[in-house]
Amino acid sequence: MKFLKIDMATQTITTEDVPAEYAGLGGRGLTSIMINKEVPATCDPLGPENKLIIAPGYLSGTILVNSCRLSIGAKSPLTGGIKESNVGGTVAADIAHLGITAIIVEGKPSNSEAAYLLKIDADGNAALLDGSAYKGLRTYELVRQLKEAYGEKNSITCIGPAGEFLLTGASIQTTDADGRPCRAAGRGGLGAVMGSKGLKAVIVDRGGKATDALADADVFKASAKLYAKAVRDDDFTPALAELGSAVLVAPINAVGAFPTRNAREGQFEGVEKITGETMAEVIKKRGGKNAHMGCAQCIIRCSNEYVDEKGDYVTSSLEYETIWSMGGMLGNDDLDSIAKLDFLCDDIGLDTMGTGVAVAVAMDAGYKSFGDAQAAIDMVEEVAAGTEMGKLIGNGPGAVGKHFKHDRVPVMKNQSMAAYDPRAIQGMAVTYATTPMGGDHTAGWVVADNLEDFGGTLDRFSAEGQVENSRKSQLHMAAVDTVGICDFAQSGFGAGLDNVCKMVAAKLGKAFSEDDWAALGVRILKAEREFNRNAGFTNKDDRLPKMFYEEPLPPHNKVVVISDEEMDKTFDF
Amino acid sequence: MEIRVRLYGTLGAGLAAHDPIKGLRLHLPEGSDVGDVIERLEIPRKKVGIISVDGSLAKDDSQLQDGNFVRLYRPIFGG
Repeated sequence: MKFLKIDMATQTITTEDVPAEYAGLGGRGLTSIMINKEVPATCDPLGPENKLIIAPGYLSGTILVNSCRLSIGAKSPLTGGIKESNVGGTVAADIAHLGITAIIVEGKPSNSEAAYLLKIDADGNAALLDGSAYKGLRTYELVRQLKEAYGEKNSITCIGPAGEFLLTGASIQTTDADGRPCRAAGRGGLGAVMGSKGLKAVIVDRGGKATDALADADVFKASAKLYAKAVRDDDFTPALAELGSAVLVAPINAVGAFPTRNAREGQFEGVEKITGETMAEVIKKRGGKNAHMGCAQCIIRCSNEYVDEKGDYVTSSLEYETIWSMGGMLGNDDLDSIAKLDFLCDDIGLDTMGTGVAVAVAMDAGYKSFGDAQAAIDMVEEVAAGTEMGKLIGNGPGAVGKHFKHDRVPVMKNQSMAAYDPRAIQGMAVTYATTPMGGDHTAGWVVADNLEDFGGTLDRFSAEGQVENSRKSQLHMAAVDTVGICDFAQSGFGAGLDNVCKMVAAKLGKAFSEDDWAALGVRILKAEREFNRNAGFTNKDDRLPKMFYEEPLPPHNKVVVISDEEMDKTFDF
Repeated sequence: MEIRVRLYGTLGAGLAAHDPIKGLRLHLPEGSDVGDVIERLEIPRKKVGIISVDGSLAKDDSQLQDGNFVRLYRPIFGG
């Protein structure tokens, strides 16, 4: 249980035992509580006082299936508030296997041109190496060269040109189980924070054998087994394997909640060409991969490998949110161009969601036409080229909207919405507006609760019950993000929340109950809200842009009906 | 009457006659509703989430007409 502290100003590394105040924390709980405590809320996110905290989930590195999620936390240069960005691949388990609880990157080099690699070997020894030879490289070429230099048995967590340019749409990419830098800690511009600290890549040996000992390995094993069974037996698991997260395209479009052409409509007439079903058929026909394992210890396998007509690799994994942001949101029904855009964002190191919405705003403002996939590709390439337009796209939809003086910019706390229109699912209006993270869907995904046909009990066009439900979901997710369980493996909770708490207790060595789980969520949200308040946020920032309150969304023609007073009740604790 | 049915997600798995993209054609007696389609295809009711007929959301008791396009979606969880 060690912290690895990297001072980028002096290029020194210190190792310390995890202080008592952070005991029992991992993932988002650790990053948010630490940031609130140690990062001045009014600091420059690209300055020396910000910290980039890389923390595996509390249960990452154990035998629990689907527990390989990494939380990266910092003050976000995109939102100006607290950010936790979450990613899979293998790195969370790799870091945990070295007995490291968090890597804390602090300060910044005095030479703004400096670029470093942080390399951690199989014994957990860390060194900062000169990375200047790798400056400017896109992530796929970077990973190729780093593997040549340092061997195949490493996970690589890195930035592309977007992060080096300090753009607020910049992601941090990490390698998947096949060693490709296609998994993204996409949201919130943390790639820019990493770039501001002169850090190009973190190379972690995958052969660690110093995982924190569990207080009770037998109890842990028994609970882990029940968890895995619940995931395996869940009805949704095979759908995810066969179609990936893209299984969501068809039903969300069917209910009129698929934001189309910069959220002018909730249904896309071209949707059939970009559904998960279509994608699975294309992949099958061309010899790509469905049911691909992208992350360590995953038993769901929701990833895919998309290939072109010749059967050559294009990208992995093509997700619902990207199919939306580069497809429906742009009025683009061409799956091949969507896959290309996914690859470009991974390669340049950009959040696919925010980048797609940035392009959508540019199109909506008349810069280019909706449906012009080549124009979208050109705009994303401009980010890497460093042009003026490229900088705008790379800085996200808020920047694009400001430049064009456009009044339809679907962002919350300057981070773009996700692939669910709040006018068609009122519960998502509450989550988007109130989560300290900005326009974030996973922070409190309440879609199924709002859809009667999926067993939901809330009326998706009514405000009733939405605030309480979003609050409950946000509190629960904060705890899920702390233990490092994959969002899609929440089916494992079917074996009981107490079963998950048993695993936490079995590692911790003391009692951890369902009440403790609930209290954990409260503690994290309180810390995040406190940071944002100190950073200057008020309740005025817990609102949606005007367009959502005033423009009825076809086909159901509703607007957001959650009042300001109700929004402000979400975190009434 | 003849209708077209398309099953999304994994709903069509195990139905040899169902093409994952084109769906299948079904002959039904006059007066049939969506519930009859689900029964006819032997899909456990709880596996069906959203229902649409010709692009509009529908329910089990929605009456069908010749030429309707019925789409059935499975429940979802997600991100």
